[in-house]
Amino acid sequence: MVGGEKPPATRGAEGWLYLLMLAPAVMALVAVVLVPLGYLVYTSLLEWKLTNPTGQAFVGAANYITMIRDPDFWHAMRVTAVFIVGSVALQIGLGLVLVESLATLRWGATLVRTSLLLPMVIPPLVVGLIWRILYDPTAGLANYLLGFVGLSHPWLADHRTALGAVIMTDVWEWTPFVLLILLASYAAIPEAVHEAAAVDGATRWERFRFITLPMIRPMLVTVAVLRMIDVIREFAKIFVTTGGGPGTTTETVNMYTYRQGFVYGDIGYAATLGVFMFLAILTLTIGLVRLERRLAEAA
Amino acid sequence: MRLRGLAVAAVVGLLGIYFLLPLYHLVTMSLKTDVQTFASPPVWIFRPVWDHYRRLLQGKFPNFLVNSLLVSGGSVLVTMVLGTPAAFTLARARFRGRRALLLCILGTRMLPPISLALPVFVAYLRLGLLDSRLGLVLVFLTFNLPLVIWLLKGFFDEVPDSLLDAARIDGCSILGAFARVAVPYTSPGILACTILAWIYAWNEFTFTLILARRDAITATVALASFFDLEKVAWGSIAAGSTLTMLPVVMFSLLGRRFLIRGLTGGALKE
Repeated sequence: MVGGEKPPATRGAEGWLYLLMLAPAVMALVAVVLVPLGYLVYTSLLEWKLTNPTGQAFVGAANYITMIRDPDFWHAMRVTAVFIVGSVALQIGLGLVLVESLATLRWGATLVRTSLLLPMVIPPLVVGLIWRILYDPTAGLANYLLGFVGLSHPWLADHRTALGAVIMTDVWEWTPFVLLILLASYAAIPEAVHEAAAVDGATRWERFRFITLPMIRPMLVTVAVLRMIDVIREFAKIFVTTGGGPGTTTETVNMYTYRQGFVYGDIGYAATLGVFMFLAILTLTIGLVRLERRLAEAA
Repeated sequence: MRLRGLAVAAVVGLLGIYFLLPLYHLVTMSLKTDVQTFASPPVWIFRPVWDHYRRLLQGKFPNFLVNSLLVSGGSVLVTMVLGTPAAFTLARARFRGRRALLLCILGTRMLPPISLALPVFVAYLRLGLLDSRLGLVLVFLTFNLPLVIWLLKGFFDEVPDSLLDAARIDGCSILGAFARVAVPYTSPGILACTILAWIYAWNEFTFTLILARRDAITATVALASFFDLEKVAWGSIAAGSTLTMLPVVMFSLLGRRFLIRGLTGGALKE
């Protein structure tokens, strides 16, 4: 909605037709999203283990108290935090370093953009498989290439390197996303601004620091929040590279929820973790929407 | 200046290697013999052998590919039928709470699959929908319907008012204006949304892992189970991965221009 007076509200027969077109989709979303979410919250108040034949019992907030006191949960929180910080920082860092070179590219720009598209469209599970193969000490290319500099190593099996190795799979898959968005916002900076700065004798670093960075900063924050949400939901790549291991060194909250619910069959506790994840992502999403609105008003 | 050009070329070259070499490695691995795969230093030049594909296609993998095809196709069909008119309404009708509804729909897209998979698993257990393709089609609506409504609303916003008004003056109802004017006008966008939604459905893993057991398993989940075997069949994994990503890569190259907009669209303003 850009300026102008507000159009009148839709009424009458037209209104009914519009409702007819909108209602099926909304009802479908209520059925597959809202109802399950309500049931999730209800389940989180139950003691309910699939291994326990006596069934379910209402226990109130007991599962939430268990969660706050559960050291495995806090461990998973730390893993998730490291994953978020490592992954988002590397992707944005790489994006910032590369955006100017790519933006000034004269030939081959189409080819570059097309190859950037590939890692983010292929199935995340295949991304995980590709890196599991690359990291493999016997069949892996990564180890062969790193062997030249004396860095051949069982990256996924060593508890000191596993989390970093999994983060690198995310960096490979999603740096292109960050880059494509940065390229779009870089292209939106008027040419004249750069030229004026060059005339004033600004160095490349000064131009980056005082022109490019401030102008793409709003987009950077948006991208960071979007990537955070995705990292919290990350499942396929962790599942297929390490399965959360070795031990629990790469077990994020998402993986921990899966283990509680579908490996241990503790439906009640898994639902509690699911509610926690839902609230965390809801908070981030609301923050993102607020941020975008503020930026739109500032612009 | 020439130095600058060289630096750019070097950066682009390294990027190309970083993003494309892993894909190249996977595809060539599916065409090598096991001996060549484990050779050190790696074999760069070889005559392709198709044994891994032959073995894969003689096994149960084709069933899983068919499941992927049916589930993704069915889910995209339902998504587009429900989502297209809803997006038109959200772009054109003026009513209180419209913006709030739009934000709720967008928010749905962000939900963690595991939070939904758990209650859906319990419900399917009772409804007998576990391990069924229909169950997967329904649950895939949770991520594709919001995406399609959000993106298509953007396309319907761009239909000129004058076109729709003209249709109304000619006696079309709002339904007629939607079907005869708005849909044809936005058909490139609708096609592109269909491709994007299909890619997300084809690539899906978490819901399928949890809700399918045996009969309804799709290609992605089947691939993950290849590691459960006693001896890891690297060649089959490489061949299966290549087959699974091939259609996605082809559609992406076809719809490249739009996909960049669609995939980054959430961040680049509605």
